[in-house]
Amino acid sequence: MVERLATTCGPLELANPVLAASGTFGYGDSFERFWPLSLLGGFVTKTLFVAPRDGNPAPRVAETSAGMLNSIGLANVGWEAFVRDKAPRVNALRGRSRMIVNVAGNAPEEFGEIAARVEADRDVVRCDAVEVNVSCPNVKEGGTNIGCHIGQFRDAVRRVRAATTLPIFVKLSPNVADVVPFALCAADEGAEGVSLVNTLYGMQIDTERRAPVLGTGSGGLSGPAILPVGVHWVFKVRAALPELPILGIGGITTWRDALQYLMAGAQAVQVGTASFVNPHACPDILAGLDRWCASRNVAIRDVVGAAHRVGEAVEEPVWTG
Amino acid sequence: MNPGAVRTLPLVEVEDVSKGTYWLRFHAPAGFACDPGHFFMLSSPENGAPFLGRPLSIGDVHGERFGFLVRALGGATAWFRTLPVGSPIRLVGPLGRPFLQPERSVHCMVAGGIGLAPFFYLARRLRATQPGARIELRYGERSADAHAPLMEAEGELFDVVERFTDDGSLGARGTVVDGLDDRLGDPNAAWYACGPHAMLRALARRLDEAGATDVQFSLEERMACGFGVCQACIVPNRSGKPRYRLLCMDGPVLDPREVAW
Ligand SMILES: Cc1cc2nc3c(=O)[nH]c(=O)nc-3n(C[C@H](O)[C@H](O)[C@H](O)COP(=O)(O)OP(=O)(O)OC[C@H]3O[C@@H](n4cnc5c(N)ncnc54)[C@H](O)[C@@H]3O)c2cc1C
Ligand SMILES: Cc1cc2nc3c(=O)[nH]c(=O)nc-3n(C[C@H](O)[C@H](O)[C@H](O)COP(=O)(O)O)c2cc1C
Ligand code: FES
Repeated sequence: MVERLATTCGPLELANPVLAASGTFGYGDSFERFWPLSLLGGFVTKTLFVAPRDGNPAPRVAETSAGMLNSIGLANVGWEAFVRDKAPRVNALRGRSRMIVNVAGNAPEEFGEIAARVEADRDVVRCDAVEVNVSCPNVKEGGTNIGCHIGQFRDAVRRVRAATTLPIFVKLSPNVADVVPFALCAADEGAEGVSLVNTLYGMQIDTERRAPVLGTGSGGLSGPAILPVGVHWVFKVRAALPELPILGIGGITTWRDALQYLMAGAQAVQVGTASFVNPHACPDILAGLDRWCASRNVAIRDVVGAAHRVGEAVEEPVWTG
Repeated sequence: MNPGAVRTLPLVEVEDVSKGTYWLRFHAPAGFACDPGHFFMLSSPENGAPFLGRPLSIGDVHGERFGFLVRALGGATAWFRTLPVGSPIRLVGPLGRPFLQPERSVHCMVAGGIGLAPFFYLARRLRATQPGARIELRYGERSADAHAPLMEAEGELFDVVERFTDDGSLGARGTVVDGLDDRLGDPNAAWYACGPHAMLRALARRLDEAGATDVQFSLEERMACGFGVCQACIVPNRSGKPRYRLLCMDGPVLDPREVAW
C-alpha cells in the first residue's frame, strides 16, 4: 500500500497499521474468500497451546448492547498441527503482512514450554513476533487469571523471554484496577511491546430461564462497547511509558476508531469482533485511514500519540457532517 | 455471488405469512447463486442494534428474487420485520454446506416450526432436477395460527403436505415425529429435516431405528461469524474425535448419525 500508511511498532516494520486480532482471524487463512491476506499490516493467530484444546460447552456467544460476550475457551488446534497444516499455507499467502503467533498455557511454566516450541520451529513457521496471551485462567492455581496477578504475570513473561529471542508483545487484560503496572512489568521483563486490551469480564442472564446465557456463566466482552476502555488504557500506558511500543485493541469497527487508538499512542491497531459482522472491516478501515491521511496530508506515523501533544498547533476543526 | 460474498442490498419486500412469521425478500444481484441449505448472515450495515449478524437459511430463490422465511423470536428477528422497504441490509454468504440432492423416488421433508424455511427452495430444485420424484412435506407447529398457509406451494412444490399441531387445532394432533409411519422403512425415501433440537433428536432416533440411511438435518446453533473463525457454533460429534465440529463450516446440514444428541 501507500507509504503514508507505513508504521513501525518496535521491531516490526508494518506496511500499514491494521492488524487482525487473535481469536477473530483463525490462523490467517480464514478470510481468503473475502480479500487477500497480504493487504494487512499483520495478523495475530488464534491463541495456541502446546496441546490442542476443545474449548467450552455451548452457548459460547451472546449479543450485548453494541458488542458480544464470548466463552470460546481458547479452543485451538495445538502447536504441532499449526506448524504442519496452517503455517505453510499462510506463509504462501501473506506477502509482506506480519505474522504474530499468539501463545498461552495453563500455568506460567506452560508459557515457557510453548515459547520454547515456537523458538525451535521458528525457521519453519517464519513468524515475526510472539504475542503472549496472559488473559487465561491458571488451571493449576484454581483458575485465577494469570494476567490479573502481577506475580504470575511476571513469571509467565519471564519464562517466554528466556525461551525465545523473537520479539514479544504481551497482551494485557483490562480486568485490573490499573493496567500500567502490568505494562511496566512486561517492559521490565524484556518484552518488546504490549497489546491492549483483551476482553472485559461480563455476564448476561436469560431472564426467562433465570440462568446465565453462556455455557460457562461469564465470558469476555468485546466490540464497540469497549472502545473507550481500550483507548483509555492505551493513552495511560503511553503516558507512563512513552517508549514502549503498543498495539491498540478493543472495539474498533471504523477507521475513525482506529485513529483514536493511534492518537492515544498505539503504533498500530488490531481489529477483532468487527470482522465477524463485516468481513471487510479491515480493508474498509485501511481505505478510510488512507483517505483521511491523504485529505489531511499527513502520514500515519505523524499522528501516533497526537492526543498527548496538547497545546500543539492543530488545524482548525472542520465540520464534515 | 461467490461463496462468501459480502453485499449490502435494499430490502424489497416484507410479507407476513402467519403469526410472527414473514418473508424478507431481495432482488437477486448479478451472479447471485446459492443452493438449498446454504445460509446467509444478515446484519445492519450501520453497526447498529442488533450488532452481530444472524444466520438465516435461504428460503427461496424464484425469478429475480430471493428471500428468507423468518420467525420473530428475539431482538434481531423482530427488528428485521420492522424495516421499511428500501432499508439496506448486509448479507454475507452463501455460507455452509448445502443439502445433497440424491436421486430418489421419494423425498420426505420434515419441518418443525420455522424449520420449514429451507424446504421451499429444496423442493423447487428437486422438482426441476427430478421431475418424476414425489416430494412430501410433514410440517408441525405448536398451534394453528403459527402454520404458514402454503396454498401455492402445495401442488407446485409439494405433492402432499401433512400438517400437525400439538393441540390438534389444525391437521393431526401431535408432532411430526408421530406422523411418519407410512414412510418409515421405505428404502426409496431420502429424508430432510429442520426444526427444534428436541424434535430433531427424537426424529434422529426414529429414523435410525427404521434403518433409514439417506438422512440430512439442518441444525441451528448460535453463531457470531458464520465462516469458521469465532468457534462459537459447536456441535458435539458422535465419534468424539474431534469433540466438536463447527456448524457453520461442516454444516448446517449434517448427517444426524454423526451428532452426539
Ligand atoms: C444455519 C441457521 C439457519 C437458520 N435459518 C433460519 C431461518 O431461515 N429462519 C429463521 O427464522 N431463523 C433461522 N435460524 C435461527 C435464527 O438465526 C435465530 O432465530 C436468530 O439468530 C435469533 O436472533 P434474535 O436476535 O432474533 O433472537 P435472540 O434474542 O438472540 O434469541 C431469541 C431466541 O432464539 C435463540 N437463538 C439465538 N440465536 C440463535 C441461533 N443462531 N440459532 C437458533 N436459535 C437461536 C435464543 O436462544 C433465544 O431462545 C437459523 C439459524 C441457523 C444457525
Ligand atoms: C470470539 C473471540 C475469541 C477471542 N479469542 C482470543 C484468543 O484466542 N486469544 C486472545 O489473545 N484474544 C482473543 N480474543 C480477544 C480479541 O483478540 C480482542 O482482544 C478483543 O476481542 C477486543 O477487541 P475487539 O473489540 O476488536 O474484538 C477473542 C475475542 C473474541 C470476540
Ligand atoms: S459461527 Fe463463527 S465459527 Fe461458526
